[in-house]
Amino acid sequence: MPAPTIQLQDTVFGHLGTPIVGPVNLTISPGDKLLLEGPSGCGKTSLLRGILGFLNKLQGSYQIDNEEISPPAIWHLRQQAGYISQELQLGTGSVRDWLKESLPPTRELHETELSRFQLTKAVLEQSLEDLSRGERQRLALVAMLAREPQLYLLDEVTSALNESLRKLVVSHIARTQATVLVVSHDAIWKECEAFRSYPLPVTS
Amino acid sequence: MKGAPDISWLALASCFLLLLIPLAVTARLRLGLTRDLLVAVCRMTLQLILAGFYLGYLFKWNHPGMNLAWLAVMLVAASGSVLYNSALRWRTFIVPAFLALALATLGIVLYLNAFVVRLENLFEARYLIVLGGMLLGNCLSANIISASRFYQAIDQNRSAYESRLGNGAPLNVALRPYVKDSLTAALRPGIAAMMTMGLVSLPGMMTGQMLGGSDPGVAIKYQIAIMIAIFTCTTLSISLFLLFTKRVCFDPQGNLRTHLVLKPK
Repeated sequence: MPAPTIQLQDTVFGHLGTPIVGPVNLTISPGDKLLLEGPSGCGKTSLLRGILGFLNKLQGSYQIDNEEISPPAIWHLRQQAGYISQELQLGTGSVRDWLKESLPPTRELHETELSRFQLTKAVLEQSLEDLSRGERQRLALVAMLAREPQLYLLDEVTSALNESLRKLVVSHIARTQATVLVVSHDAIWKECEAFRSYPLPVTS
Repeated sequence: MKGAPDISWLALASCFLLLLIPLAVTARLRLGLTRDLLVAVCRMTLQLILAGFYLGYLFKWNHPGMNLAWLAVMLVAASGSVLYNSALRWRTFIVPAFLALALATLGIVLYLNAFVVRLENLFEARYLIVLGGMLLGNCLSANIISASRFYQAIDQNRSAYESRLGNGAPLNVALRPYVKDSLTAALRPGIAAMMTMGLVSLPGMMTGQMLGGSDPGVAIKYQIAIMIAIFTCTTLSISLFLLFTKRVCFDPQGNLRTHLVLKPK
């Protein structure tokens, strides 16, 4: 199943009639790698949440594969999506149980998938609360990649990683076939040639 | 079977003398509870005198329709008053709360009446209203606590919830940890109560029956039945409550309609 084409035309996303981000004009084709830019509070995170249907479209048009958005289309898009939020709340309990819930049935993580981002199998025996923020970021990435989504929506996923890990993550994501939307204040994404910038208009 | 001897009104009045002890403690330690305590004692007394009055009539008439109507009045009053004191919006929850409690309470009481007590008239006031009221009183607060906990947890952990949805989880899967947490919290006290039953505490219904002249061997059978009934009723009513409210409390995209669910802070 190929990644969807997402078209936003004068789109304003908001909550209970209050606009939060937009108007946005943006076409995201399969395989695009996009870095959303703009000052803090301009709505980068909200745009990701709007695309995933956590905010409502208040104005303009939001199309997926040339069809105007609808609740079934949103649920379908989420199945194709891999989303890592800035807050990175993974919940409580053991890493093993969390993975069981996060991955498709029968799918288990291989040692190589963990070691790709310098995690070991020992992490599986830990509880989520005991992981550092950096470990949680890497675990969330490993689990997301294992689901093989076609659309990544990544919100500040390298903020707690050291430089070598950040490079590792960015270069891995730049090489994937998936469509990628990144929100990050980290210059390393901007330096990566695979990504084009989309400056978000500042709403008054 | 000989019932408990009647207490004269004068003798009952002497019981109020005992209140001098808590009144002295609250006054001495300036707990600021004196006024509330006096109001509560007066309300309790008046409400129970009234209850004795109407229960007397209900038992005398023993009309199935009337008995059911009275159970409905208890359900409305109970769900309304507890919702009023919870974090949940009255308007959104009153109908589902009523329906969930009504279905669970009525279902379990009728089962008890039919298969355990084996009554000829399933709607007999003495059992329908008394057992129904007891189930209701015991599972109502567990219901509201678990529902508040469920919706507040989703509201407070919105990012975790959205992460589950944003990674393709269907609504029921995304809600699972919150359902688990709220049900566990609501059911745990019931399990703890059963663990210590008869050892640490002699439950009210059993003592009441024995004071009323029942044989302890009969009283414990009723107590066992009621403990199982309460636990089942709690589980059933919470599950139904969450099921009934899910449709209203989440939009078609699975987002929590916080403005309809929780009272403004």
